[in-house]
Amino acid sequence: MTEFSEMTQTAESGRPPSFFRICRREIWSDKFAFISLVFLVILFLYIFIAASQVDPDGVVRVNLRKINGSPEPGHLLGFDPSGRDMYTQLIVGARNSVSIAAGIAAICCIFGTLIGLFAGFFGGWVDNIVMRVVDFFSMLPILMIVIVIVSLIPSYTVITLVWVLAAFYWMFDARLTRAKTLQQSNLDYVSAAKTLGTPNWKIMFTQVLPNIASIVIVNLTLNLAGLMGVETGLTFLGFGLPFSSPSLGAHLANARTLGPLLMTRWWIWLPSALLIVIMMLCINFIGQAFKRAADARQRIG
Amino acid sequence: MWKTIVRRILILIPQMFVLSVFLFLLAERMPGDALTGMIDPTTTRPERLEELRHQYGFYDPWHVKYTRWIGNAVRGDFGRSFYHKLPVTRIIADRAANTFWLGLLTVLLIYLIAIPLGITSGRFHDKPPDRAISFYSYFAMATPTIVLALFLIPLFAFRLGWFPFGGSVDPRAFSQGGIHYFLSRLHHMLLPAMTAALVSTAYIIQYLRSEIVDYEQSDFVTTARSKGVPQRQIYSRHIFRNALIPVASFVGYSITGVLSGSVLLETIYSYPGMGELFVSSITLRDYPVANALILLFAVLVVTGTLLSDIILRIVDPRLKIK
Repeated sequence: MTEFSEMTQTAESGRPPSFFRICRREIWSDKFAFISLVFLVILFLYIFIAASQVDPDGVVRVNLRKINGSPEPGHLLGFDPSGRDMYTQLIVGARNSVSIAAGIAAICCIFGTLIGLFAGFFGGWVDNIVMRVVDFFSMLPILMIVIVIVSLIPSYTVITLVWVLAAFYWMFDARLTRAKTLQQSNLDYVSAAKTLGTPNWKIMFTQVLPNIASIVIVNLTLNLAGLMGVETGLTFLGFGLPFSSPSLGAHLANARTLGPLLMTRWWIWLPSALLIVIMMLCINFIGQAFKRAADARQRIG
Repeated sequence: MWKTIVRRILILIPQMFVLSVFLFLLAERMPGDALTGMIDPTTTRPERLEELRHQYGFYDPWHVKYTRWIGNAVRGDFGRSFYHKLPVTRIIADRAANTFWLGLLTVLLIYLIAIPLGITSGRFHDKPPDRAISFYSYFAMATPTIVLALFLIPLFAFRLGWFPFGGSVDPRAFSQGGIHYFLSRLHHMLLPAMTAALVSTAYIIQYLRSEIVDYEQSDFVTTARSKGVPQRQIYSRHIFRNALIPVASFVGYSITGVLSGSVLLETIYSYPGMGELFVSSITLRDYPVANALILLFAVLVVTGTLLSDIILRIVDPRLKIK
């Protein structure tokens, strides 16, 4: 019934429903995406609030008698191989991994979208140069180069890691935005705006950008999941976050030291592994729903 | 056809040049020089070391050094490893075959899993089989290789003991040779290859599914239906053939993906391939090896992408270069 009244409303106002309204309808009609969204919001709120409540000294407090200690009252997830409380490590690690992935995704999205918008809108030699640079970056073995750079930087922090990774992942966003902008700039509304004498920057940001925004948002969501995987992998190899900052990848790296005790000492790696899978799964479900919302042919709702 | 290939290769030349300059400048920032792998600083006088450095051109301007480096690299000479005290080319050559076979097995497994699942998913879309397969592909997309390995290793290597953990061949089988050697190699590769394949299938499955669903609504299928072509033949002769065309060209991209994944995969499984060599040489600060590996991987990635494009042109002649 509400859907019907929504439809009549949009029909009366003569405007197509906005992307956010379509997204809402799409998520509402896809059970998995809806559950994922609710679950993810609660999970993120819990992680961020709990992590802010953790006493900063408690994160690095080591109990030498409890190295690899099993779960006990007060320490529900036991202790890691350095004798630190695993639950605190998990919460702070999850917050770090999520924030880093979000940071990289945001930087890539901003720069990639701007560069793609310029290349696609102006076309010609601007486009040619930008695309050659993008081609160059996409042929690099990214993981290996990032590892070399990380090992060369003398004093590196979380912020450095975010920028290094962003420097090698922006071109995926740029390529997508460029392709979409190219499509849009051949449409009549852009020619009309040009004929009316609207300045280029105004057409780009007030007319083309809103039209490709849905694709950008879809991509941002899906990137978030991908980048969490990248960060985990890098930290697992020992080239991600510094040892002093907990991260989900570091917990998985601890699992390597266990050998055949992998299953008996599950508390060291299993919660982190499950958390990564659950978070990436939820983000992917939501991203897929956004993707369908952005593409009229695939919509369910 | 040939025009396309030649053109693509011509575009590659400036790209490879920029990459080599970039890598060279990175290498310049790395600690150590050509003498580090050959001379023990504790037994050589510092003056003699400086003299040798001048002689080998350590203080030359960077473009002179670059020309020399790239000249040697083209001839396959990447200098000497600091750690192993051996030519880099020999160390990499020892590992290359291991990565090649593991990669080949992974790509084979990817297609063996993805094509039947993708076809089933598209054929019965929005029905229970499709839902199950979609569920699997969502999980495959959300599980990083490491996490899957951490689930598979305790189950198959420790509890069930079906597969060995780590290494590339059993020492006893190595001495026996022949069929024993081959089987032992395969046995060691199966678990890592399975891990990599299971997480890489999702994209091919989803692509195939959406292609098949799209083709079902296309005009030629409607025509075939109205002519009274049996359902089986519509799928086998009309839809699958068209949908599988682009998938054939994914082979190149799969090679690329498998190669970049080898760094993580080989490290987790302690499999002595090039990816594992890369991580260990970075840890040992053995930069000549690491640098040569990056250059080699870049060349392989480019070749993989080129291969994809060429295959696509061969299987789908409608695509002509503009």
